[in-house]
Amino acid sequence: MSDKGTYNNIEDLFRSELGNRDYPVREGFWASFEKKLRFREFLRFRPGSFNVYYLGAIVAAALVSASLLLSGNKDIKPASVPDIIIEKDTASVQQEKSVVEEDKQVTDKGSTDKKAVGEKTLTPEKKYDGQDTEPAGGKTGEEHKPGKAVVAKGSTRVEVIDKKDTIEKIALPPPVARFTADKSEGCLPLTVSFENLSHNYDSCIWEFGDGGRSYEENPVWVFDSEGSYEVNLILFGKGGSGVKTVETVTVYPRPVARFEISQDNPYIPDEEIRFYNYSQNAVEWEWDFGDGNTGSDFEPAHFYEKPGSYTVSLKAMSKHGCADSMVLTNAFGNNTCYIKFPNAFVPNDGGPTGGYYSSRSDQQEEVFHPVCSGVTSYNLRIYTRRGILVFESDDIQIGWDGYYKGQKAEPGVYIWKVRGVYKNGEPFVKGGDVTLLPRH
Amino acid sequence: MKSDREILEGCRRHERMAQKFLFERYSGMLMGICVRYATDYPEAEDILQESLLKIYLNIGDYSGEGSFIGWMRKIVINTAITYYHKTLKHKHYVEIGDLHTGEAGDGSFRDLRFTADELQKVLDELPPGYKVVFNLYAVEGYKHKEIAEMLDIDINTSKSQYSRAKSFLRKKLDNYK
Repeated sequence: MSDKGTYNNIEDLFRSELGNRDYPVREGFWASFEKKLRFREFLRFRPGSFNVYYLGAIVAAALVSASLLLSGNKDIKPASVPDIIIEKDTASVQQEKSVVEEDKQVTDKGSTDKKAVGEKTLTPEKKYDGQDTEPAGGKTGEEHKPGKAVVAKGSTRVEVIDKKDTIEKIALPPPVARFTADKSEGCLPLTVSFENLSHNYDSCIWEFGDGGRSYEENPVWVFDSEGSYEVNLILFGKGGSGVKTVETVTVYPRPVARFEISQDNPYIPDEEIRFYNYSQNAVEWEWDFGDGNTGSDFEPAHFYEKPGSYTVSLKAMSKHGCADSMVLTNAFGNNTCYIKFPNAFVPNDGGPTGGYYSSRSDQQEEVFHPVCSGVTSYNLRIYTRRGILVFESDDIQIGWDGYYKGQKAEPGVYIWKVRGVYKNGEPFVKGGDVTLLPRH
Repeated sequence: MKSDREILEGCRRHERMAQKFLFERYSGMLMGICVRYATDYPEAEDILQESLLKIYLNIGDYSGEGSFIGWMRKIVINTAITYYHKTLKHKHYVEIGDLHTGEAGDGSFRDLRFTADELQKVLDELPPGYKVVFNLYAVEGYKHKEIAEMLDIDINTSKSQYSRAKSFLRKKLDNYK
């Protein structure tokens, strides 16, 4: 396009390329525009052309003559008025017929009062009075009001059908808007495929209610924020424009699944692991603790039989069935290294045991030993408060049984010191005190 | 093919054929203007429709002096400005932000060629307010004083928005190729 050359400045560039640019107008634009134009021309007063003012005058004249000539007679068929009038006329005449039936039903039920009022509404000028605000109808206005209340129940529906019939006779078939969506509700982000099942149209516009539009025939739309959206399909055709139909699509928010574990240790004797639930927008929870057990409490506590690394997952579901999940792989995993000591123990009275322990054998806490994970080398020393070394071990499986040189140590407070290296290479040095309790 | 004068006369009498001729002859040019001001295609169509209604319904007001095309263009531009004002409050107002507002030297386009589509694309990246000011000043050739009156803004706002729009476009175009 721009082989005309080069430009010295940005103004020249844009002016010459865009200033007189032709941009093709969508096909079908004129057809729909023309209808609007005709309508607007119709609303404007111009001498010499048919418009709403002339129509008003004709209607007024028709009213006057109709009321003079045909009081009580329902078969009005003026031949000389333009077709719009005919349309209105037949519509209202048929409507009146239905009014009669309606009224008769009403009166059958009882009140003669109502019959009197209903009959009044049959005179044509009062019917017109409802549709066009003409001075001719003014005088009957007051009597008219109570009648309307009776008529209103059944007549509106009939009117719509009548008018449609009349229009179909004089014009091309109007577009019929219909579409289906593969889902009407769902979880965020919601992808919906729409299928256009309309007839008698040339072009269509989809308005998705979230500000988005599409001119495609069968669009696929992603709703990316929660809410209820009115999806409009608007049709343009030779037989009519702006025909539309609406469907609602509801997008539910997705919950957020989040949890934390009370501690990084899966196995401390007699201690449950607590799971703290920070999920949002959820009403139902499914826990999988990774050891074959599941749960559905909001914040469950779980007891692991064995130490190990478990994969814990939480699925959170909202009240609309939208789900989110969080998985904690190796929840107490290999990468967590720690060493902890109890602050008291009760040696057995039966003599030295050698200090060898296992998680299962030491349920009585007869041996002072650490709870740990990921420890590769280790040295534990225990001193009296005066600084005398009473126990030393380089084997993590051997703790202090509470005996010193074959004799049970005095109950009281002892100092422990541990040093070693975790398997990730990180050295550790810790110290503390432990109370040796006498057995009762 | 009818002459412009015949079409104009026909439109004055609201003849359908003349109206259609006018549409066929000029809608592309007018749509070109709409597209430049609108933020998207449906909006451009809205502006075109409003403008055409004004043109057809008020064609009697065209005095016959001055260019008829100029008269129509002016109606489209005014409609676009009205539309911009009307939609302004529904939209997030975007500032260009911390751009270097200094004037880059003119002449850097000597070796560059852009298609109208490319320019339009770059123009569409401007925030709506800047886009209107740039269109009015650079493309339509209005003075800042006139733009300030049309948009009901301060003359300095018009100048600064224009200058920022310009450097924004320059930067975009420099990066384009």
